[in-house]
Amino acid sequence: MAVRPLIAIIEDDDAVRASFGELLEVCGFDVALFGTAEDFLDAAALADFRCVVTDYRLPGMDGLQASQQLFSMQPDMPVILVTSGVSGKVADKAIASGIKAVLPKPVSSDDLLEHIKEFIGERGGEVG
Amino acid sequence: MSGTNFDVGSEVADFVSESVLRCRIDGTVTYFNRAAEAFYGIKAMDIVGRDIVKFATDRQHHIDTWDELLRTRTWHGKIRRTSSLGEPRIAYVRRYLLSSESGAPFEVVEIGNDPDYAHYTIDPRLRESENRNRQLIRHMPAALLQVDSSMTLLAFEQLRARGVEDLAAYLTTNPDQVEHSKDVVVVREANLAAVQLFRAKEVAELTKPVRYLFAATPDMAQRVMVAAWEDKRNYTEEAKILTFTGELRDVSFSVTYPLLSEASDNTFIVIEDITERKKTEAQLRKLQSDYSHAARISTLGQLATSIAHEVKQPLAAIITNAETSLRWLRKEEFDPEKLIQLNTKIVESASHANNVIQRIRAMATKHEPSQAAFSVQDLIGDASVFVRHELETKSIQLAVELEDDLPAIGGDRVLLQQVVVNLLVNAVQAVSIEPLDRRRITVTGARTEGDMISVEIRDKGRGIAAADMPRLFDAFFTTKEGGLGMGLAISHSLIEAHDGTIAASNDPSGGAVFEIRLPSFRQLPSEVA
Repeated sequence: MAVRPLIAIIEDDDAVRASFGELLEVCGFDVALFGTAEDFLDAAALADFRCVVTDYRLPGMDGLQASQQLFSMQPDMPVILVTSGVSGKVADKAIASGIKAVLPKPVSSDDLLEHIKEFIGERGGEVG
Repeated sequence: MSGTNFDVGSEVADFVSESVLRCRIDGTVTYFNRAAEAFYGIKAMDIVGRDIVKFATDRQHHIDTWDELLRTRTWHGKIRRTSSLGEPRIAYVRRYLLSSESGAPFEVVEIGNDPDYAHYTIDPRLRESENRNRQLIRHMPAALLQVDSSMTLLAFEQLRARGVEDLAAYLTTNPDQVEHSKDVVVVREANLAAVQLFRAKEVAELTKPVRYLFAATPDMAQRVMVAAWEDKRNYTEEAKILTFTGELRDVSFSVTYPLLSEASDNTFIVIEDITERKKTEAQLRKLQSDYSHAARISTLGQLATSIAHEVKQPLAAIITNAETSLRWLRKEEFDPEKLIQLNTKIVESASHANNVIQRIRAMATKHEPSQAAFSVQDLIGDASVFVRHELETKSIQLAVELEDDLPAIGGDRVLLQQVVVNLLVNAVQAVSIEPLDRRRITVTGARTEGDMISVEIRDKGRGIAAADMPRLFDAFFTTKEGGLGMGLAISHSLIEAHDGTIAASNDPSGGAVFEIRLPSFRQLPSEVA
């Protein structure tokens, strides 16, 4: 079996974070789970991630700010921003800043997987 | 000796209309005037030189009142004598113990009257003042009843003689005694307000046995008797009375008992109609409850986004876990362990969402205040659910520092939670305009003096302006645009209702401090009683 692509999940709610992890694992991905954007940015090998799924509202640095920092190191990293009740202005700003997709919470698993597969495909590599 | 003067006085006394007699200390009659002869139906020659006690109808009563006279030097009250022909004679007498210059008592003078006309023969000035008092009583706005309780006092004497010490216990096992008293204790006089209170037409309807006073609160009779037994001067309780038109009224029922030394059988009862006051109090309580409810709804409204988020999070987890379960089920390599794990998580998230909804429901519904014991940790935990999202989105740090083994506090969990939520919301608003490093709220719980528990909410905002400090807890005082100014006023009244205090101050290092002090649970009055 081929190497499973590694996806980063940044979500402060324990239950939601774990549920994303379970979903992506059954669909053939490896996952790294982070409770805050700061923890994620401290991760040793950002380049190993094939895609990043982040919540917008986070304690401390928010999802948008985290993406800016990430892009300064990994300009091509696909980022999916998950939001709950966020204004269109935030979504526009996210897309303008290079975020690939903005998905409303609760996220449909089909939507999420479709986007992840699409972005990973763009960068090349197999999907499980 | 002053005896000479009295001999002159005795001659004069032969011509006065009141009965006058003189006795030695041992009771031997030395003088009996003409009015006394006529009134008691006893010739002076038959009584002078004999012991006065022989003429008393109630020998024991005479001995008791005589003893009291020797102790207190004056005595007045009703007496009964038997005439030479065996007829009963009742008189109202005043007795004076006369002493020599050295202070040794040597003689008793007794002046008497027909009991019903006692006041006609008193000093005219005294009579006038009595009339004034009568007028005053007659027209005073509170219902006043004069009660002849001599029969009860007599019964008490007998009970004491039989060795009864605890009347309350005795009456509980002998309720007939209470019922009997309701029939033999009689209202002698009543004023206009009493007539009005009982919806009667005239005073005569009220001058009868006291049974009717206790018609709506029968148990009170026993308590009134016990207070008299215990030699109390006054007894008051809130009770209900039944008017003659069948209406129930809330009243404050006060009894003033005669003291032994006053040698009077007159008990006074003042009944104040407090029906309207009670109604107003109930309305006030309802209004307060409505206000605090409205404030909770308003707080919930302000926190709607936060609350929605609290429910959305577990729902998001449920949806994702359920979809993941379906994916597992569709796979060829079926892993039951995984499904058990995912479904367990679904159940956990669902019950978490349910808890959040229960909390919101409790805050949103009106309810009668209740009493329960709970920990400070639970109180702060419950309250912070409502602001957690607010804290996160505004990057505010909430530090909770609780002393170890804090005793439980008691009261209405939702109402106290409302106060903490309100203070937290204020703190959030205060720090959210500050730079990130000052967005900090500290909640501490600690023991403090008097077995109280102190909960402090400290923010790093701008603090409270000195000019605002005195009015902070006033209703309709607000510094927020569009604020109603009810939050702190309601918090204040809710904490006071829990026998606690709430105070505001400024932290010397900047920011406002609100301190709530609440009694620990075991110390609540209801627990002690």
